[in-house]
Amino acid sequence: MAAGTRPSAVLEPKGVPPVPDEELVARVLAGDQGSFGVLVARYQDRLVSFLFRMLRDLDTAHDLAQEVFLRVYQALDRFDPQFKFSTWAFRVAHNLGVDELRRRKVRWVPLQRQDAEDDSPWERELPSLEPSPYHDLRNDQRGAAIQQAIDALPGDYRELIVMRHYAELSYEEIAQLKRMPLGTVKNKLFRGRQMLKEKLAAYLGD
Amino acid sequence: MDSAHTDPKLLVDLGLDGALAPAESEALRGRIANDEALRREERELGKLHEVLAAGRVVARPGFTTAVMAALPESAPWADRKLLGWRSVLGTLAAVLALALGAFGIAGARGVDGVGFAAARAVADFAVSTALSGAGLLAASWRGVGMAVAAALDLPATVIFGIGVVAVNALLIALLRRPRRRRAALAAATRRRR
Repeated sequence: MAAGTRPSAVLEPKGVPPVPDEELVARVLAGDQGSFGVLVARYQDRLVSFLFRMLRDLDTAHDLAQEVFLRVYQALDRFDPQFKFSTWAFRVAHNLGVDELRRRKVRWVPLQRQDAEDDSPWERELPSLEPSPYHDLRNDQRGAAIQQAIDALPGDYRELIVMRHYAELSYEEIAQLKRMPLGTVKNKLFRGRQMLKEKLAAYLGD
Repeated sequence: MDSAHTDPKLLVDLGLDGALAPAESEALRGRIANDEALRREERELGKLHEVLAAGRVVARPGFTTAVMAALPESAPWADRKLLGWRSVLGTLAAVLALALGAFGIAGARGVDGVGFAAARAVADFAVSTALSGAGLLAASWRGVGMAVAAALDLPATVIFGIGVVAVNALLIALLRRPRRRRAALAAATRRRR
């Protein structure tokens, strides 16, 4: 599978090549509102996953994902086809996520930090995540370790890891979204994964 | 990407992520086959991809239906287009109606030249508006010109002093910038540790 793609969504027939996003947008603008449903079905999981990783709250992730689709629909006639639809939708999602974090005054902080005076790490208490699909995972030591490892990454690495592995954006889409050279995206993702690999060494062995 | 000069681990990483061209991927397979360290790297990164993918969530059932139900009934862009045409047509119609009304009243009263006089009054009003706008603009620019002239009238030593202070402020700002960047870098390194 090409980087950043996923199996076609619910409303798309199997065995038929998926209709490009830009074509769907053109159809919606021509009056076929149902084509917007295809776009929603195509991006809903990735948007919810991305916002959930950003906000750690599944209800808010759903609310904001819905808001993203509404905003995109409202401004669909201003969509510039020289950019990707996905980049546009995720930029809206990112901005809404950042606004929500600002509103809540919650910052992405590592769960475990080294105290300056003391070498022993201390645990940072998180707000309750329940109900959450992570509930089972969080009971699992490995799931918690993965979450801690991602949270402990420096901000820009964490953001790229979330964009690649949870929003499932391609390298090119991330480069466009972050206005970064493609080579920088590749290198930062590589370094981010190396950091994760070190932190999670105990869980990645045979 | 020039794979001959790239860290082989980076190539393994890109290969696993489907970001290599077929020829590069083929070349990498050959390298991995002869290198135990790269095979281990590939295994570990593969597992990392798996565990990260396990943390994805999916939208609740019925999400698409909820979004579609929340969409406005009429397309917003169609309303915007209609509004644009409507406002242009509305303005034109209002102007036309006023003009016709003025001429019509003049014609009905049988007063010679009243319609023309009304049109001239409107034109005079437009001209006087343009002139007053131009006058205001000229006055504001004249104000700026007067301030510059007043500054030039200052004694040379005062102007020189202001120049020296400005250059020093610029130098301080430029010197502080790398220090701030170094501090941010140091903080990032501490966090990484």
